[in-house]
Amino acid sequence: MSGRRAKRDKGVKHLWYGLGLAAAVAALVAVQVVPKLEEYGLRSGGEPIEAAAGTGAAFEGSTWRLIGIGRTTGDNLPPGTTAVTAVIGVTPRDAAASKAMSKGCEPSVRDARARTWTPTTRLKGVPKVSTLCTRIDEKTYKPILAKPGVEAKFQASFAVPADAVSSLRVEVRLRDHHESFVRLTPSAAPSAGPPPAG
Amino acid sequence: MNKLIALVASALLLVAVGAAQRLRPDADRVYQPLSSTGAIGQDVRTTPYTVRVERAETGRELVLTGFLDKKEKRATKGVWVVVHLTATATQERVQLGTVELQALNGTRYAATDRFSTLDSADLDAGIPRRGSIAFELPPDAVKGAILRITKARYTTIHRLNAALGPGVEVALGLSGAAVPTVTIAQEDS
Repeated sequence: MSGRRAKRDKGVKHLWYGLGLAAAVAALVAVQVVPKLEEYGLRSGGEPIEAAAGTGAAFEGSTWRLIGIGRTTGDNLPPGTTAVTAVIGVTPRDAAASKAMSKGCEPSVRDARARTWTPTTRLKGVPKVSTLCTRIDEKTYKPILAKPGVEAKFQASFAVPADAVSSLRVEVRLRDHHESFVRLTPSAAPSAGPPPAG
Repeated sequence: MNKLIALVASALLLVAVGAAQRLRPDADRVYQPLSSTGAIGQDVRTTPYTVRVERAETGRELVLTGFLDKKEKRATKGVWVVVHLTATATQERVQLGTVELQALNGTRYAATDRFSTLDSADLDAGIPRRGSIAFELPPDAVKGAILRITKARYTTIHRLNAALGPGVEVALGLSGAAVPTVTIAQEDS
């Protein structure tokens, strides 16, 4: 009886040794890998907050909607590409939401193959619509915060391969906010002409 | 008997630890990019972009063409190697990153920063961009040089540039013989 107990105690002791060894190896690997983890990392761009086609979505305290997306013109477009302009409306709910946008927005478009394009300044776009989600004071160069409850409109123009145009969706990211972004789907394929100014 | 088994097992473990230490790759090998290799005229695909080297040439003097066909001559104490290539981003806007020529003896020469070339230009998804990249090399380093492109550089705010990543390697097949003049167009990025 006592022999069996001694054997069991020995087994438990070995189990603890084994667990300790496993923990030590895991700690050793962690010490080697964790400091270099960022070297391997690429931010994925965060999680999308998706709006149903033709509707708006709440993101960082503001309501975002796609006013329109359509073909525009531009100089020196690369061969095989089409110019597209999106007009976006954003309504901050309160002062905090206005401030969240004050460091700037980064709009982009994404096609059905998950390819993305960022804005280009070579394109004409829509007259009298800002290209910034938060306007800048020309004298002080400080951001002019959008008024809560009032929709601010801005546009972004893109040169995209012709085969991407029909499936484009618009995404907007905020500076210093990498966890999520808003994705706006048009109710129809981009129009043949420029989108409405809003 | 048990003690003997324990001693033999310990000795074997020690030998295994020693062998593992010796077989461990050095830091350069651990952190080198996983390169896709190709030849001139071939599409070399990596995650951030596809690169096709059209041709490479060596010259004693370089003529830089800029806006309004303005031409400037650039001298070098070695020779100029100009690589003409087409690059296309796969998913999103990216720059080629670190572009080097590696000589047969392992020495790496960075692309010139005396004027802007394709290495600092923005590449967009699905839109091929043609351009050239220039290097200054000692004449005896040209023969057998390999083009290495690593560390793709993302420029959008939501992307973090990784020190590691895939790379491209293309043997340029240069003989080392230099023509008097090679021409390159400056990028307007």
